[in-house]
Amino acid sequence: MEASITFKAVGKAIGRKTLLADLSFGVEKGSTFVLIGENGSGKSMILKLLVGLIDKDTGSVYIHGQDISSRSLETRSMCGYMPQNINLDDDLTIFDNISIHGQLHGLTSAEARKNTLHWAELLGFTQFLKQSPYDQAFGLQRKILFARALVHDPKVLLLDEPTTGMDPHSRSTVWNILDKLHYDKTIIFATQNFTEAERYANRIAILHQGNIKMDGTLERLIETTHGLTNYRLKFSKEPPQEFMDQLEQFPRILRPRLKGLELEFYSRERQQFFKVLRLALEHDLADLDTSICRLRDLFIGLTEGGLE
Amino acid sequence: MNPLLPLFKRELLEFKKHVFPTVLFWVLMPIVIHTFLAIPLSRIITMDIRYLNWSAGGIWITAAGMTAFLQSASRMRKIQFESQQIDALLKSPISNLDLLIINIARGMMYGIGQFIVAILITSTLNNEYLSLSSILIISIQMFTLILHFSVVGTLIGMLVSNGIFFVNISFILFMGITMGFGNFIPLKYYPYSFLSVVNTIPTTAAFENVRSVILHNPFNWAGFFLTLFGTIFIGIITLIISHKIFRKI
Repeated sequence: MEASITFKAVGKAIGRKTLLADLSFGVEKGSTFVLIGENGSGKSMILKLLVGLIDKDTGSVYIHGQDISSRSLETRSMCGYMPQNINLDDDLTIFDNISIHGQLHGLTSAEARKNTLHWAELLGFTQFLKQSPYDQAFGLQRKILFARALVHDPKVLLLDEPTTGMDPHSRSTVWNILDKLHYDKTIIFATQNFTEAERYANRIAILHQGNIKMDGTLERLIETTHGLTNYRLKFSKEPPQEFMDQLEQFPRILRPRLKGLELEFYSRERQQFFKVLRLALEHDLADLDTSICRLRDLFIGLTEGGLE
Repeated sequence: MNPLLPLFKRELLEFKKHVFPTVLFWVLMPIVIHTFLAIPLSRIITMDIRYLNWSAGGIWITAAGMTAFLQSASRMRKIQFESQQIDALLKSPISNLDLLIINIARGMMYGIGQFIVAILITSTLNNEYLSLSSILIISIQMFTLILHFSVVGTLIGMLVSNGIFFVNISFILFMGITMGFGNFIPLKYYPYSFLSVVNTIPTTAAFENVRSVILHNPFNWAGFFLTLFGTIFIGIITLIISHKIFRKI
């Protein structure tokens, strides 16, 4: 498939702190690519870099074959960007906020009006168009930002935690729209919501300390765990320290953590789990839950370690 | 479409929203300066012509200059430090220069509006008649000064994030314009050492030019052009600094 976005050895530092370290990856046209990572891992920075809000120190970035440094006006006009924070214009109405943004991207007044009304209707805020955005609930302000990112029909959509603060109905509306859009647009979104990442992304990249630790389709990422399983045991009373000490003796029990009455650990071998279970039964085991390792577990393993 | 057009449209929409307080401010500012500054000083300062007529130039300069400064500086501070609207603007296919031009144009729009209202008010209060040619020459001089304060305001607004610090700067500027450059107190009242510094600043001559129209004195065109070139120079510096600030290097 043809590349929509290409990062080549991109580096960015502020002072002595490295924010992006020799970052290289590509995103195909018409795909949905998700960036997940802890706070400060560089997710938002990648999106800001793509829309020209931050300059890189080294490397090259291309959007649809155009260098973002030398052809910044063209590349910026191709992108729709929804930031994490609310940066709407409080001196304008919701309608003008979206419409003026469309006109800044080259739409005529009539086109901007038409598109604004279209997105307002789809997102369900037509009745608020003449009001100030700052009189609205946070979730609605996020929807306005989403509409603003889409008003000029961009080829590339960059969304920074798009559904944060939205109610379940609004989340569903936004994802339904994105589901329809992803056929002819490249979508990159940053999130900390693993369920959304698993559900909607064609490719997932796990960022840690300014670099991609792992990326690929969800299936491929899960494959790399080689059948790693997450186990949760619930006790009716807190197990003694002696139990935890015994658990440490099992070589293939990974990352055992006791949180209150719940013990969580990982293992690739059922036999190991049965041994732990036998031991746990001696200490008021109340319930248990097992699940195949998912994105959340992979993320924890990669960023915090302990699952190698 | 030229990106300046939607940005200009945005300014007009904001003006439309705040038209009443804006016009009220335009009316009140020259009246307040006239009442609390010019009238008391007219009891103390003696000169060949009527003091209130002479000080009208100072009122136009102070009112229009401060309005231009405050509008351009506060808008720049707001989009950059308070609301982060600058991210939405800079994400659009507009250049830093476009953004600076519209911010300076905003300061000029409000400054010119203030100047027109101020000249109407002082003429009414002083029963003063200004010929069309005098108004034209005053307008040319004032246009340069309003541009100057808009550019300075844009620069200050881009650099000063602290609200208290910005208020202090605005107060110092107000005191400087009213008391330091001969707009309300003739420069002959100042010590020589002070004058030797103030007279090297081209803006002093530009201020003097506005009063020269009232006094029917010849202009100092050198001061006018030096102020204009100085303004362009500050504008270039602002543009250079914007490349370091806007893209958050």
